[in-house]
Amino acid sequence: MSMEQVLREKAKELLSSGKVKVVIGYGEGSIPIKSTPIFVKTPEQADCLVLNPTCTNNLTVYLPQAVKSGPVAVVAKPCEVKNIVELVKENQIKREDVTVIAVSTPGILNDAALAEFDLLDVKKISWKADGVAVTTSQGDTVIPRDAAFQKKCLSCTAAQPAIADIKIGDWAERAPLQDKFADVEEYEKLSAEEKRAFWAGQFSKCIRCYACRQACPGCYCNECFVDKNGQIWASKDTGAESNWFFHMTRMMHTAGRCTGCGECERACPMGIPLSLMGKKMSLLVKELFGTQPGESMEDAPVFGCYQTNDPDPCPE
Amino acid sequence: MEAKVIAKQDISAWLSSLAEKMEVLAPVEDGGVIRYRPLGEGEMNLNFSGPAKSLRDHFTPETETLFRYKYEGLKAELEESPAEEHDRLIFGARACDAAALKYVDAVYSMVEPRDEPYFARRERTTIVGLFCNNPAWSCFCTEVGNFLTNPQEMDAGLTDIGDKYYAEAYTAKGEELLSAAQFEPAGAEDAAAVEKVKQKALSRLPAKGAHEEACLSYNWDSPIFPELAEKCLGCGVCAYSCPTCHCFDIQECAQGKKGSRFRCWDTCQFEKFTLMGHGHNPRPSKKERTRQRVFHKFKYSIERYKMLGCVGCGRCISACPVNIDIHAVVAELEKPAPASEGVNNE
Amino acid sequence: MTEQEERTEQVETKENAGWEPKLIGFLCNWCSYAGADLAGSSRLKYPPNMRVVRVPCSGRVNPQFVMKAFERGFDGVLVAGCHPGDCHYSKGNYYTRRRLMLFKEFLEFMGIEPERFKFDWVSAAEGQKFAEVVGKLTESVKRVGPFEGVCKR
Repeated sequence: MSMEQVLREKAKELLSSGKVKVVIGYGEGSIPIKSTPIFVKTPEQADCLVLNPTCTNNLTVYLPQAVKSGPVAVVAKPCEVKNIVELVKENQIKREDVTVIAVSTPGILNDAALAEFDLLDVKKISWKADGVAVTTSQGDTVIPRDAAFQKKCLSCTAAQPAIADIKIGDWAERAPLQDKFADVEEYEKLSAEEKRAFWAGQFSKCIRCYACRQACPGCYCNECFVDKNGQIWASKDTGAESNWFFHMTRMMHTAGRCTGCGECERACPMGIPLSLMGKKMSLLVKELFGTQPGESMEDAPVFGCYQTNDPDPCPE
Repeated sequence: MEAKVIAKQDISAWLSSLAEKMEVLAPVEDGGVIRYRPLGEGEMNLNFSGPAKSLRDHFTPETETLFRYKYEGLKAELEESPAEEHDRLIFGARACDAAALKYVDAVYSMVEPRDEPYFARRERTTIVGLFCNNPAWSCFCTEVGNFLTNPQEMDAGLTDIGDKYYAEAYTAKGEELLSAAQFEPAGAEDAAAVEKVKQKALSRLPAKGAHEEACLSYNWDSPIFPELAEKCLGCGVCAYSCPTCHCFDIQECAQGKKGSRFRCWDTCQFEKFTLMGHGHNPRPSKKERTRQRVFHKFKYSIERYKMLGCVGCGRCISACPVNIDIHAVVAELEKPAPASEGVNNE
Repeated sequence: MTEQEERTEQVETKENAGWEPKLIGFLCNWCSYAGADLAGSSRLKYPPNMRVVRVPCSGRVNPQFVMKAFERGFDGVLVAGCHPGDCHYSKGNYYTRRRLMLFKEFLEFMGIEPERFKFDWVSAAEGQKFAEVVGKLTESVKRVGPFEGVCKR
């Protein structure tokens, strides 16, 4: 049975037994190059669930809201299971309210890989042994892995998830194809002035649409700091300085909680490399405090705890 | 005026000569996104297939200072922002984006006094369009005005026919532009080439005619909206990439004795857009907000301005992180309701 | 002229005119502010460049305070609190330490020179140390020069 078929069977079981009220998964998009989040509520609807290389969304972003209507099952890729771990630790969802369907896929398609195709002519996108097969009226073209998959997938090791109620796919640990932090290392070679100029250029593009914030499972605050205007700390104007302030603050708020899912960067309409900051944050958290978000249910949230021997600015 | 042609290699020279008289903005690729930047800033890219960033920020800037103020003792000084002084040319505008300006004009002139900063920019801007050879998968301009064959709000329009551009003027400004040295009269084979290119472009677009007034009152409770609400992230990318969207917020930036008041983009997709001072929000959930977006573009704009609020550019569809497709939504809503229980399909 | 343009103009004249850095310090009420007081009452000499903001605990310091200071044109920022283990509120400064150690590295990642942000422990009895800390920060900021702004191209 393919992963997709297994998923449909499991979803049907969960729904007909009444264990969950809704299964959050992926369905066919409005065109074969896309899939879309779907909320399956009956066993019959479970046949709408799909699993293919276009299934890119981080569905955990729906959890805090979804569990309010009852127990929920959610399809989560290895990086996304980490978000669920953090949401439980932060008391946004109860562990017993969510059934984690952990799915390990060969990788998720990078949109740029389709640049050479006539998107209206693509009939199907599927996994093949060495990469992704794109089916058009001319037949199948296989895009090899390094060109086909998103950066985060190329550096994924598919390590065992910290929580999983159902596991689908090949969970054998794999060697990463690329160094996850190669772009961070490259960026760090710049001088301080060059770094400032880099971000000045990037942040002058930001239009403050807040798509990064809305797409992020970690940004679930009822009232974001940007919307507070009793005292305005973050101005709503789109000058580079205000944008800098917004992104710096958002990065500090998600530090230690960002799992590198990359949804922020994917949602950004202006092509700003937001994951560069998120990745640096996760490196710093590992270096300073020895933990990574989402890897264990036992680790306390990074900034909600302390050790008496934490790194110190002036070790005495 | 008769049609002209200009060789592709002469475009730079033509634009550079124009740049001596006015600011010329041309499409440039930056981080995978096309933006209109002053000539010389980045390499011009005229081969973009499908929607670039719209022209909206050149007429309704993302942030616009309205005035500055300064206190000295008991005296306050108010400094209004200067009116737009310089002339501009936007080169390479998409037909849908140019047509959208007609709608935004209607919105900003709806009440007296009309929005002067906006109209100052409109009057000082010349638009040279570039018709699409290769519409994107999300385009549907044919269904909402068919701007490829019925261009609006452009002063001149260019079509790529291989090693040259076929050029037509639609206004006096446009005629003046096309009288530049680099242009030559078009021949019959050029006109034939344009026809071929247009047919190819149209073959990639939905064939249906213009939308009727799609959203009728019984659709208010359509189950589509709760479905959209479940997956919509409320991220606002649809509105911010839309060429007809025009809502703004007014905020202040104050520091001690001086500050400024500015307006910045806002969207009905944000939760707090309709939150009122006393705490009530008439659009409390994404169901109301996604419904608002569809109805505003396809119903209220017809009622209010006698034209559709959507130009079929498809950006909201391709930019939406969760693949909400407004084109598919409207098509679904337009389907007649099942005739049952004596419900009148009106 | 926008605020940013005004600041840039000031920077340009600063370099010519024997520029003095503009510093801000967030000092916790119980230890470092008292330490600063002691430095004052002991008539210790230290550079006058720092403006002080008193906070109840270094744990009150939101990284946004530091970001706002840089956004508004300060050349350097100090955050000082009680020594770990001696916090008046028992554990406030443990949280500060985690937060600001990360923040310090992140600021550097974003291109703000590490010489501009200092975070240290000063107890109520350490008037001398306070004077030294301010002196060192003033010195290091002078070395890196006026802050051009968070997003100057």
